[in-house]
Amino acid sequence: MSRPSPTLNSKRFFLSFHRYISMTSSPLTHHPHLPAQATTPQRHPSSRPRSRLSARHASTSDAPPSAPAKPLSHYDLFPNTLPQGAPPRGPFVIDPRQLRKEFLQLQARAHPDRHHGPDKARAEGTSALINEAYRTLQNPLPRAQYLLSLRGIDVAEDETAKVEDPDLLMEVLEVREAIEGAGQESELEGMKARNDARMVESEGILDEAFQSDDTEMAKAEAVKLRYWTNIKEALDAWEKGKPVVLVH
Amino acid sequence: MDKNAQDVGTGLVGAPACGDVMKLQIQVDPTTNTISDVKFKTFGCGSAIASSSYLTELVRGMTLEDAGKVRNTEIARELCLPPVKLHCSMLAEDAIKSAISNYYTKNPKAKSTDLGGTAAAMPKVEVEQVAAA
Repeated sequence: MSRPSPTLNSKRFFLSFHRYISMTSSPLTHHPHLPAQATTPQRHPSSRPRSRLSARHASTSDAPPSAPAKPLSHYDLFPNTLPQGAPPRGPFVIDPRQLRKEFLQLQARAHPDRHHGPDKARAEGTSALINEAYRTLQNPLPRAQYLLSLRGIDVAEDETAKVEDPDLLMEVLEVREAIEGAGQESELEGMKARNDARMVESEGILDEAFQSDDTEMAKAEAVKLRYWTNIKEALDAWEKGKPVVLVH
Repeated sequence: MDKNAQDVGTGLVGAPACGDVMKLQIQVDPTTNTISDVKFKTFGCGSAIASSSYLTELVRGMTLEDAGKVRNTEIARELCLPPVKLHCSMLAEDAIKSAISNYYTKNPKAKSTDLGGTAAAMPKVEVEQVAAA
């Protein structure tokens, strides 16, 4: 299993990680999954006793013993849904309903409206982290991009990257032209079904790639899934006689 | 444009980060080696469409050599693209380069230019002749 390498461009991961530490540092300095070095410089000047929220939060984020040791990832926030942690240890495919259920349970405890005074700011941070983790894991594309970023590969933000697969571009272009040329909404039905099939297939390939820790395969497939997702957006946003301009 | 025509070069490029795809086609006048017509088709965000559109205006009538020297900064400056959208202009630059190289692949004899613009003429150095004492 390849450990996340913090030196590479896992910017987003690091941000959330540091936010996590800074908001929970006092009660969590002895957390078994946090590296000691990372926590010491972040220690709060006021070492207050455990607050209600952080005590609760600490208990919920305590991953089971089988979870990978340090550092905390989005996977560790959902120990019930994802007891095995991130791939290749755990599966890539996630049951969205179970994840949502655990997300709502976590937010029910961490929501800022339930906390007051100094706890409130901390709750806001915790709640934001839970939101980000949920948003990332909820759909296969951001999940794959996140897992790749933990491996030091940036497919979501590297603007200089090129698509090396001319067949993929050709296929995408043809599909997009077909969508543009559609005269009736009913003509899109077949395209939607085919694109949904593409997305399911992509998720399967990503599952296989992450299970076998094949980063190259996962990277190529994540790019494909990016295109299928855009096609899905174009299909959903289709209106008669209107060109589709994506906003991103 | 017919992508199989001898005088047409097609460039098809994509940006994996945002999932855009851009097709650019140039029609080349073989006698002057200039771009007589250019068409684009871009599926992506507004900046990507604008970049490719401006690019078509820019390179129409240019020689292949000059068109290959178009830089993304030129496009970005004209359109005042914000930093997060610079990659859209890079995509347009890649598209024209890809179209030109496709044309050269079809017409190997036309390759009389230097795409990278890196070739330098030999500097003319005048050596002072010193008469031997």
